[in-house]
Amino acid sequence: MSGGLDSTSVAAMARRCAPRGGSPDLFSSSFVFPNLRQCDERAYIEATAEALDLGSELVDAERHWVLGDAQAYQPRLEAPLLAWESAFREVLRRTRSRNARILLTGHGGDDLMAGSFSAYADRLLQGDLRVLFETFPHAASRGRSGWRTLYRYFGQPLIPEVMYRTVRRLRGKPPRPRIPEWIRPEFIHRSGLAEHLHSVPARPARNAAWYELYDEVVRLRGWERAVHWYTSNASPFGIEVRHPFLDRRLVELMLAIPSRLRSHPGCYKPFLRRATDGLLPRKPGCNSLMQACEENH
Amino acid sequence: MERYWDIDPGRRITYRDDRDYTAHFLDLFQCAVGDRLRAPGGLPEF
Repeated sequence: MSGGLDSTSVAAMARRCAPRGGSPDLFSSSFVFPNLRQCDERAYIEATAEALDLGSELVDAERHWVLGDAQAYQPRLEAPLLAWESAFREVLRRTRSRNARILLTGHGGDDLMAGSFSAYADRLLQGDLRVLFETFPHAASRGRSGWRTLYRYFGQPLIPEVMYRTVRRLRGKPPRPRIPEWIRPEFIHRSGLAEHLHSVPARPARNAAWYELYDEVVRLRGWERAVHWYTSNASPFGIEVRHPFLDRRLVELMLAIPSRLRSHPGCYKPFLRRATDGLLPRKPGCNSLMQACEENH
Repeated sequence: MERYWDIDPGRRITYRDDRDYTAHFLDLFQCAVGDRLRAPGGLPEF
């Protein structure tokens, strides 16, 4: 359980499902960073664990750098991502020592709940002019110009690629390469990356936010690699890692609701924030969760 | 191999009140978390 919204929502809902003193016994596991203060969310983690009456395992992630033991942490073809295996295995060791067999994560929450810039243009195309009254005051509060806001929120998502390139040329900017320059040419050739990108159909201008979410969660399934990573690390400990945000019913719901609910200027994950208001403990120092999101994003 | 499920791209849910969307989400979220708490030997009741 980090100090973020996804894992905290899972923890709070787990507490609602499993009342205190009942079965199963719940506890949270979190990383803390005593020296990397900007990464450390201990204050909120501890406040949340106390409010939810959860036992708490705090793992000092700085004592478990993945590069600290190159032999123990080798990249694998099935899960080439090397990130925080070492710290995660410490979580698994402690989980096992408590005789727990299930670990819930907030994984998938970013994919499902983050929303999209395209939602604003979608709303404008649907004739919802309220979106203008939401985006411009927010941009003004951040000191952004009206034209820049108009272009970022509505122009960029809507204008065709050809016109986009023309505008860049007129502004004296070179065309943006379709493949980043840091990818080596021989890899592009060997992997057929250029041909693959060429074969990907362009998203329709209408309902672009829906297609973005569909691509992210259903078609491309980037979360699968992470799920495999969790599973392969946890299996040796006899622990099953489960991810509530990847529930099919939630995916179907988020694709069926109006996209305006998933995106709001200046607020990250506004729908989840509203839905869990009253379920989550307040963030220390903030009057409300909405205030916290306005400050952070 | 046969596909047994896919997202229905045309499915839309419309409520009059935005609070109904979040209530719907919370219901499903509770099921999603509750189902995943289940383990042999102990089923949470809620």
